[in-house]
Amino acid sequence: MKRLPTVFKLLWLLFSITTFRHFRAKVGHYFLLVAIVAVGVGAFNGIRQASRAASANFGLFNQAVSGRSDFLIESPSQRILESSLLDLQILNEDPDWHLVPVIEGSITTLGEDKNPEKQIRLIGLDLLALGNLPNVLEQNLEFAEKDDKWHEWLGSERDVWIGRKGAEALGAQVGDEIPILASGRRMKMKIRMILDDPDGNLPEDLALGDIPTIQNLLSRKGEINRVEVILDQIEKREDLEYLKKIENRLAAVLPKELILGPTENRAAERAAMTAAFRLNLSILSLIAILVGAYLILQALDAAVVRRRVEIATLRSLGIDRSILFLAYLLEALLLGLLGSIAGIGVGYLLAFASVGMLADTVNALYFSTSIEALTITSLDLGIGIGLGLVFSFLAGWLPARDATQTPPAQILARGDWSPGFSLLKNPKIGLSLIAVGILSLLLPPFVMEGGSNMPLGGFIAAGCWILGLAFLSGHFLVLIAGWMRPLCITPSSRLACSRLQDGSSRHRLAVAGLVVAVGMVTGMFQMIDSFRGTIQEWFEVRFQADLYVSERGVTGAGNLNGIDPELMDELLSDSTIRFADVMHLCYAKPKTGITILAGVDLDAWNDRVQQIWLKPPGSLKSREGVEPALISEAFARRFDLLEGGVMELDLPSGRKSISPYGIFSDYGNEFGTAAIDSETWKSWTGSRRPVNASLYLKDEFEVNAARDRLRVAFPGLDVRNGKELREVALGIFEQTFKATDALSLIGLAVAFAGLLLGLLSIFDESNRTWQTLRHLGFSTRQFLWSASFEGAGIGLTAWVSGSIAGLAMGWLLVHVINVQSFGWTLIWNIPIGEFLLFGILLIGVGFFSGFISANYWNFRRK
Amino acid sequence: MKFIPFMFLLIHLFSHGEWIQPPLRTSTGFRVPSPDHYPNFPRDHGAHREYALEWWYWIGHLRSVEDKREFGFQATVFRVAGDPTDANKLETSLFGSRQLHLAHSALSDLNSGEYIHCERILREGWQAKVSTKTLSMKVGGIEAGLLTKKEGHKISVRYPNGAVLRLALIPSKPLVRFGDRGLSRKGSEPASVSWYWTYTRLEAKGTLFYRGVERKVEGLAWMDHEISSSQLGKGLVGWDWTCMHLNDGTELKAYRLRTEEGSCDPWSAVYWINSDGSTTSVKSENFNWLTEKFWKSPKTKLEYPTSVKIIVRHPTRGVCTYRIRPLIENQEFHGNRADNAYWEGACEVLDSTNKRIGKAYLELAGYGGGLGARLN
Amino acid sequence: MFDKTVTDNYHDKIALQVREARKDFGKVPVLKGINLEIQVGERVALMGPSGSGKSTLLNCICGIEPLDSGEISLGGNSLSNLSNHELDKLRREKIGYVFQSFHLLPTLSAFENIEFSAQLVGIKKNQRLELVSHLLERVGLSNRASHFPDALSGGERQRVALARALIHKPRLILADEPTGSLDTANGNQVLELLKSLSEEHGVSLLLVTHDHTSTQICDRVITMKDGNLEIF
Repeated sequence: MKRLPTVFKLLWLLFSITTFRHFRAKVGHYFLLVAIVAVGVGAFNGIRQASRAASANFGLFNQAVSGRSDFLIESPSQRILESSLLDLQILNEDPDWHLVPVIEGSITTLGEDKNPEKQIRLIGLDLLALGNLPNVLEQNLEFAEKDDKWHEWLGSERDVWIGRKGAEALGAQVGDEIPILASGRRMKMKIRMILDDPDGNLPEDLALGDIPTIQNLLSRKGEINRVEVILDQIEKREDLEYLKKIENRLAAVLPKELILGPTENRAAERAAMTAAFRLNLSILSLIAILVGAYLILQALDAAVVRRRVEIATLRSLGIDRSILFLAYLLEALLLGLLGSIAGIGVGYLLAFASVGMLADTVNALYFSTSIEALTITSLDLGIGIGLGLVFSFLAGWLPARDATQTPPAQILARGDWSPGFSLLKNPKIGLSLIAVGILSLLLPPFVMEGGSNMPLGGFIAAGCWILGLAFLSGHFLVLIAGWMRPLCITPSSRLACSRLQDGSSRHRLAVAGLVVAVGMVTGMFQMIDSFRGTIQEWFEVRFQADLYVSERGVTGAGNLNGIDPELMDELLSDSTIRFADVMHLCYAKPKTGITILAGVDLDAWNDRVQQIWLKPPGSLKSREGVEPALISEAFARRFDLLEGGVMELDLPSGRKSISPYGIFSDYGNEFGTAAIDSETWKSWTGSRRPVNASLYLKDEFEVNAARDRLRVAFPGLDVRNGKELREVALGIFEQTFKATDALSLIGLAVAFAGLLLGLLSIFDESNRTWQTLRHLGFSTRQFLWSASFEGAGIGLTAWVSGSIAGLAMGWLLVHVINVQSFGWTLIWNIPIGEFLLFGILLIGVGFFSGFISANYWNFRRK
Repeated sequence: MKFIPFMFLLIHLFSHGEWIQPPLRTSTGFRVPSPDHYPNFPRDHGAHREYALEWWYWIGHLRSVEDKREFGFQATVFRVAGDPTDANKLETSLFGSRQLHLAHSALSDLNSGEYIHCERILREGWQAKVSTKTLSMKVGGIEAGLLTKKEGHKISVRYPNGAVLRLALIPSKPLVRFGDRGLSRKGSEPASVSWYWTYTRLEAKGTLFYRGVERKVEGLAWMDHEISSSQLGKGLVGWDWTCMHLNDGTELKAYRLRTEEGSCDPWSAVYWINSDGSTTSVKSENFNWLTEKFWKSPKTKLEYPTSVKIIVRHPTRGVCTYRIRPLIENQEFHGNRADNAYWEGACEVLDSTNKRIGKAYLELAGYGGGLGARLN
Repeated sequence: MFDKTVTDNYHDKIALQVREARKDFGKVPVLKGINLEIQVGERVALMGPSGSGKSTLLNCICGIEPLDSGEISLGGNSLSNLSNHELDKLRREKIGYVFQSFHLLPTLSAFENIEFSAQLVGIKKNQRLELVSHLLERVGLSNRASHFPDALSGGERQRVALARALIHKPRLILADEPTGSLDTANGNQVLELLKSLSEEHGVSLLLVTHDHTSTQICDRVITMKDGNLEIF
């Protein structure tokens, strides 16, 4: 009972006479420490927020206007014909909800040079009925100056409404006619009004119009995408019982080819499809935090080292080890707390900077999303602060222990003193981590809600291997320094080498931090490079037609906008064309998640159209009486059809079965594609809208001349030759790796900061050595050289061990993680040039860090 | 609530004596109701799309057969036409662009005091369909049509929380065609005329599903159908309108148009519908509409004169007094827009000795809730 | 090999000359006009109570701290005329330093610690190895050559430090309480070595000590008190 107050008193005494004074004396330094924590926590927070904002509204752009919907009525192919809408009429009568039909599609604005400029989501809503919606009433959105002029804008040919942000982005004013490309046609949309949107909720890439207007602009007459259901009494939407009742009432009269579900389900389903992607991001950002924690560790450790004499003196004065331990841990927590609070702000800024980029990636890879305003929830605050505290606690542990191991002053006075972290010197830990990683590869992939797979074992292995190699990197340091020693002839290099070979735990720590970053970055190098190589290879084989035709301007794998079928018919009647492989695509609904059904000329696919076959046509036996299909590798893996079988899909015409007779490689999407005969596709989906076509010309025609002629004749279509198509595809590909690149950069920057701090702490610890050297006549220049060599040595070791970690990562990413989560077989490419360049860069950075920190150390001493 | 978006539809129910010949079309191109038109049913129950404005209006008092609970109901469907000259419209059968409809429905539970109501503004198409050939319409939650033997019509009205009223309405009196030569004139502008047809006494029978219980109900109802193409005169701020089913088998309709100065517009009038269906009317100088009590809405804070006394000089019976008392106070209809509130509800009618002589529906518009003139 | 300014003027027999050396730390005068000459080969003991300015004087002599006024010349080279770079050079070539707590480089073996100083002044490898071996033998540590400092006893460490201070043939050894951390036996051994080695190499010695017995190896004793020298 008596001890506690004493502990508090002592702690307070310690804080007031030492810690706080250190804070005050080195405001800048502690500011930096807090900033480091803030960057770590901020990176995690920022990515969370940005990925949430970027993927918040999968395809439900209209909700910026109509408000959150409670239920969705969809068709499996995400297209509803107006005739099916009539079947919903009975639902229309009920005043407890509002039915909001939505048509949406992408169009592209044309710049002055007539080239595609900006992609816009075109949303068609019943602008008149919109006036009944609780949210619209609340927001007081007005679609015209005067309501009584409704007949002037309802059903106009091309009037659209945009938000203020959109008007700024387009530089458009009311009445402007904006040239656009839509469904392969060149058209114009007219800005009817700029919506007064005080909260700025309307995304800048949104244009809104009346349903018939949008159907006209998209050449999709008589068709909508879905019907949203919004409760009239929005205050009851949290009432689960009420929701259930409403759902039952809706379901009772819903035509059976349509699917009803809570809106959240769809968001969850789509989110689950991108879960693997977001998981990748989360893991990368966790690495950022880990590196951040490592920095805290470095920084606190540096503080312990700097205050070694003070600690020793306190120990001589009889301060208990446990009190010292507590004091340092508390200090870590205090820094962690301040840093995480600052990290919330940093995260917001990072999210702000990266959300657009992430949205681009999600758009390109998955479904169209709109960027929601960034929000910070209390959960964010909790997680941010929690992570900051946990990691600073963990990071504070070692230095605090280090502090307690400081001997009393009498012993300290005898020379340089560093107890070090024995953990880092024990190879068993690193080796067991690697072993655990290998074992975890035996784990099967974890199936997530939306039907996508998460390679759990792969991720665990990645974590274990990186950490394991980080632990082992100290041993590499000693080894490499030993090998280098005979080569060191100048005093500076010999000194540096001897210090590295000594392998102090601080040196090991500095290397370990870098290894994590290097492993991560070089692993990513390989994955991206393998991807690129594989896709190039795939392109070589797959795309051997003369010309490729697609909708102009619209990009994104999840975008199934399509081309006006009449326009396609017109194009295909061109006399130069010998044969055309026309592709139709639509979404189809398996039991879980979503997949893609393609309608193609199967006869041509069997022989004329080249593919990389995982299982060539005929090698699987398709079930008799079931529609034969060629399926993609991703489809086969996702639905366990590698050895054939039957798969049921929900389509607008009901539930249909397909049976594969061959498997092709496809790197176009990870949802999986099943290709069936075009005619069946048309009857199953009720649509004849193609997405693209590969043209094979008659021999006597020259490809580029035909291309140029078609381009002039069909200005709304992209007509490309094989080379051009490849460039575009690789462009999309690069786009998808933007976020990864940015994260690697953050990782490297943090690692560089860590190296600087680590070296500073190393030099601090060697204070006595430097003093002696000065007396021995060691010049400042020699000192700087020696420090730079030391840094370079750390860089070299980090590169070597990081590259081993990186190769392991690359192997994991290509052979385990990609196969399990995307269903893609990639050819493992090791970009040797990049590896070498990276090594040189790293040694340079190490050298430079040594130089800078030694200079700073020297400057501080004076 | 038939007046609210249609202040311009004000009906002048009695002739000022001299005949003003209406033009064939308005300046905006809509057709103008012609004189001496005898409605040709079932065609004239349907929509008249060439005319700018049209509404169908049902109110009534109901009583449940078993537990004798009393209810009042209102259902109104409006049709507003767009520009008749605009040919460049895109429209599909599901998303029409030329006509829009409003549906107002309300139910007063006179025992519990609960009042539920709902408004929808819809374009013609999948959510609003009104036949041009007969009485057949489905606008939001209101559906109406002819009975199979055409002896009357049926309506069904859906209310919030799943409540549904289904009624068969059979007229016990012939249709009343208001106005001189079948034209109800509402202003001195030549085109200010309408066709105004009313079934003043309908025997109502049906069911009401309400709060999870289905009840057989019966009672008396009233139905208006008006077609016009003209706008309302300036200087009016609102109106008070009532229709009464009197116990003696007659009906009374009265309204006053309130001017900005607070006076009663000369077009205001009182109509008696006699037992045989013939009508007697007096104009504004022959009656007084006095407020006896105000009710203040807790939601909109607007004040409505819900208890009124009408003192009117009948051409033959002399001075008559009708006191209208709301059966429940809160029968305020607030539409989608906050500025569109009015009061319309079930009332009882007392004579000068406070004896109940009938039941009424009373409509009070323009008391700060605006006139809903957004669509006119 | 030498910069022009650092000449070898030991022929005038004066190894170290300090004239009117003054040094203040803030407002506190630490050296109040010190005058001192040490002849070539002369061994001088500098005694004095703590805080009398002994260590400051030593630091000034080796050029780590500059004087406020006065002059120090080593072998005829006035320190105030030398650049930092030249001071570094002077230190590594003309001075040998022995510390109370030895200050061996922890990451180098005994052999390497000694060799390091020779390497600093650019002595060729063969000659260097020979010199180190010779000196190790001379201080009696041939069998400990490959040991790292933390494996050596205090006396052994100080003997390594002595060898290190002598390997580059300095003109002056500054020894700051070389026996302060040692027991008497080890202390005496180190002192004896210091004496014999200085004689062998003809090196001057300025020995800072508290201990009167240490002064026995010296030719004369000077005492410092409150920043002034009292010469006996």
